[in-house]
Amino acid sequence: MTLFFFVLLLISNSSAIAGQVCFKRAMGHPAVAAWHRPAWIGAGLVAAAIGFFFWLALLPHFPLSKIYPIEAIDRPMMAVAASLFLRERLTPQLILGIAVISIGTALVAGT
Amino acid sequence: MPSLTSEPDHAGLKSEQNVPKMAWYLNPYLHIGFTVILSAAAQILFKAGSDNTPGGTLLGVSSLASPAVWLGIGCMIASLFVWLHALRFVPLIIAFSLAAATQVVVPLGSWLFLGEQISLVRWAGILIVTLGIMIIARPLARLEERL
Repeated sequence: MTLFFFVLLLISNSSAIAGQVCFKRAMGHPAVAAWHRPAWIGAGLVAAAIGFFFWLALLPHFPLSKIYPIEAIDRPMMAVAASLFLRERLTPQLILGIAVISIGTALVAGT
Repeated sequence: MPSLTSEPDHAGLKSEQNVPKMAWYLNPYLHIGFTVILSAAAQILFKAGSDNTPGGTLLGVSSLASPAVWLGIGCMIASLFVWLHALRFVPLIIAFSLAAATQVVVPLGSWLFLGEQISLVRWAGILIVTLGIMIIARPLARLEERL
């Protein structure tokens, strides 16, 4: 996998994660104005769609079993995003769980 | 039960669990389970539906002739709604990590319903993902018990 395609993969993952952060913003803060909720959900759907199309652009260039395991990096990426943008706390137990799930995901996807 | 770690609970949860009493069918963790089952069902329906239609068209448009594919699309839309409900009460990182159960349910479903083979390495991966989810879910179960 060349650097170019790895960057495409990072963009695809980042967009999908940004979509989830938008969904959480839409649902997680009861104090937001009424019209904010559909706006955040709409933004989340757009971000998820962008991520999906980057993924589609990537797919024809590699066998699925080669790129799918690399997808497992979206779990640590999500941990960073949730703590940066949503101020969610990462406990040692949560970090351990995420690390184990990432390894397992790579194994399930890579064979 | 004695705790193995110095930090038994996910700290982010306490501030967000502002609705401790609700009907059992509104429990956000139940809805994360629904999300997993619905999105796994969608994948299996997409696969079963697209196998029964002629391939070779751009982006697999011909698959839209299959009712199974449309049922799968319905499952995906439903899974978005139950997911959004769960996100009202559960921190994103915890919900997202628990939703990794999809990685377990899809291969198991393909094995049961589509007759696909699961390699030894994949079984190992399924086991490891399950272990990781249990590491995250255990302190949550303790928190629920105390409510």
